[in-house]
Amino acid sequence: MKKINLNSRSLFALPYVIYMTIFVVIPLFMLLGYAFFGDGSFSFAEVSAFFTDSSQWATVGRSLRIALTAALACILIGYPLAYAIAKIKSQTVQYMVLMGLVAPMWINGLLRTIALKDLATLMGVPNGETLLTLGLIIDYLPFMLMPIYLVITGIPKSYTEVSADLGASPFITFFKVTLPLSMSGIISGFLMVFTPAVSTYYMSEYLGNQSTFMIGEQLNTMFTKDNKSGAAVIALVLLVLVGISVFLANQVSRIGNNKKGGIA
Amino acid sequence: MAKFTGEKIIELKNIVKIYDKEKVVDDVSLSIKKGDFVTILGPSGCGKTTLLRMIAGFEKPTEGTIYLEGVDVTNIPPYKRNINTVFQKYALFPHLNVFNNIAYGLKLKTVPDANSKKGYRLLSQQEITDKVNRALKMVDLEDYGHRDIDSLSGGQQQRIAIARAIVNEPKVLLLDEPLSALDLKMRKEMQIELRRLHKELGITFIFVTHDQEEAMTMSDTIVVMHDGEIQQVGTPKKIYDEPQNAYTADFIGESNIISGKMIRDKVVEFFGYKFPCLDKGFKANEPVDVVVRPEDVEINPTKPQFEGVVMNSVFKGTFYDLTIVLDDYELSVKDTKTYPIGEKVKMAIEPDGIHVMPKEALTNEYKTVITGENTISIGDTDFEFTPAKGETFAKGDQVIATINFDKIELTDDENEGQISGNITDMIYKGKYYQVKIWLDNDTALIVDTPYDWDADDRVGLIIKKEDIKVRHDEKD
Repeated sequence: MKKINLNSRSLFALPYVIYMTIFVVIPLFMLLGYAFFGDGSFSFAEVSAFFTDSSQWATVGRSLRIALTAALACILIGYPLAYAIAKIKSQTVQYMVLMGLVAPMWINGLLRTIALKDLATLMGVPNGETLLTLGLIIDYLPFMLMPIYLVITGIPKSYTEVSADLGASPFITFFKVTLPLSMSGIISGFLMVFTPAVSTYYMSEYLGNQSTFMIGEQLNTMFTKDNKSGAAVIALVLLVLVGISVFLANQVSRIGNNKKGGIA
Repeated sequence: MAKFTGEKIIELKNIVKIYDKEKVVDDVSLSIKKGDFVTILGPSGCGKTTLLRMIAGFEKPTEGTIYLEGVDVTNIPPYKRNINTVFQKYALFPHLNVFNNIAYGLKLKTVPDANSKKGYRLLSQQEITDKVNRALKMVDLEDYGHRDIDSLSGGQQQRIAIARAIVNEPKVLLLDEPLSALDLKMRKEMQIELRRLHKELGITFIFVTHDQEEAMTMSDTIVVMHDGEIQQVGTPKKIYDEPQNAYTADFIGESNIISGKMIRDKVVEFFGYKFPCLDKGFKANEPVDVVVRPEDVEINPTKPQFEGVVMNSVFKGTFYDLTIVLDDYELSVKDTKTYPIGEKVKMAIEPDGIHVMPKEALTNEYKTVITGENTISIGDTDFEFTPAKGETFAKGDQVIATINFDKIELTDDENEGQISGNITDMIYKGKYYQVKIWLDNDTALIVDTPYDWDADDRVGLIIKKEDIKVRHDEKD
């Protein structure tokens, strides 16, 4: 007699499959639908409109540049900071410092941005790329800090001890052991900063000006004009950009660390 | 301490290490001869790894000095010491392949070079490659250079860790329980391998282990450690034949430890018989521990000294493991012949088979305070005691409570006891077991118990008030 195997382990995947279908697969098809079937029949009109408009390309390029600058700055600030915190002897003090750095995230992002804008006005800093980049760095630094901190604290002490045992000074040990082994933290931190930064909307709205028009704002413009097809094309472009950056980041991670792995 | 005639490579002088107020290493002095294979042997927590880490330079001693070839290196960081370590869990770099793991130290090494302005230079790529390949050949893993660390078995990783250390040609190689993660067969192979490497390289090996058999088969010299102190230093044979105290005797190999009495020089009494022995220098009638190895008891000798009844006999391949009962003492004896169970046998022990050692302690001397009317604190709990006539105590007085080892009762259920604690060291003394129990406030009591407990067992303790004798702490 045949039995329907309801106890099969694959059954546990069901909620996830349903979730993914409703929130990822269907919206993705809707995006494709809007982009290619905007006026009822299949057409490349919206897509070609985007790709032939040089101002669109400029917006994409600008978004990439600003997000990249912010992400790299976050690495330069976040890594030494995470390293210093990880080296604090008392675990309690470590958590307290981390808490202090992460706590601002409990405040609504929009509020933080407006506060930053007011602060900048008070100090006489005008809107523009500098303020916008600064805002992105301040806002996303915790996303860089946490993964790097976690990776550094996860490196067994024996590795740095072996390095010292084999004749490496603490300075050399850092560059030959700690840094390569914390590469995966840097990569995930980079992606966690770069991905939201490249598509930010309210940041550029409040801290930027005409010359910092970013892809997120472009998306907003499309929506306010009720141009769903145009918005869908931009959303797809963003999707591809993020996909490419994840791929590239994982490639870098492989070079830095010859063990397999990486993230995402 | 053993006398060394050869050149000293490492000398430890009065090393003390304190962690969180706890003395992990307590006044250790030790000389290590150049080219020796020295094993530091002891149970976990005896301070042996801490001692090794201080020699490597990962820890600084709280007190004392470490000399490497006569030079004080106490405050020299590990990367400036010509010593390499093989770690317990190998700690191979996961981001480097086998070749680069082994080459790690070589790439940092400088050699004197008259042609260079600085007077020294780094090793050339060719020199590094040659050295790495030679090291790989030495540990039987040629052609493994390109392999990833995670593609290696535990045994192979162990060999790579050894190669990575010896490739630097250190003056001393430290090995921190390097074989403990391997299975038995692999461990035996690596023991032979390490002996061979030691012979070929001629460098001093300091090996840390808790496995007494490993220590016996591999070392030139064994250092027995317990509770942060060195118990004995000597060749494996010397430590086995002439253990300095009951602890060493019990830890190194099987032995009968019998309570006895030293009648006079060269005569000791145990089992109710007098035996000639070689020991002297004890007080008349001083209580002693007598150690007799199972193979030193002769059955049906020409001149019998005492007798007992065979209770058990187990064939162990090349000999029989016999249990012979006298009164209520169970004597363990090894013999090539077996005897019927229940048969009475006559026995003798040659004078050189008897090892007499002073009893470490006869009774617990527990330092504490008076907490109320005729109560003292033991392990944070109040105990009633019967004061001796004429003695008066006031609350807060510093006192010493004396409790005999056999006057403390142990219970399986810790809640049945007045206090509870964890069993640590256990020594079988024939009639009974002697165990050390750590109470929850980090004080210890020694207890003689008829039952066989396991280390780390949690037990309850019951002490009758008439068995607690209290006197004022004279020092106060």
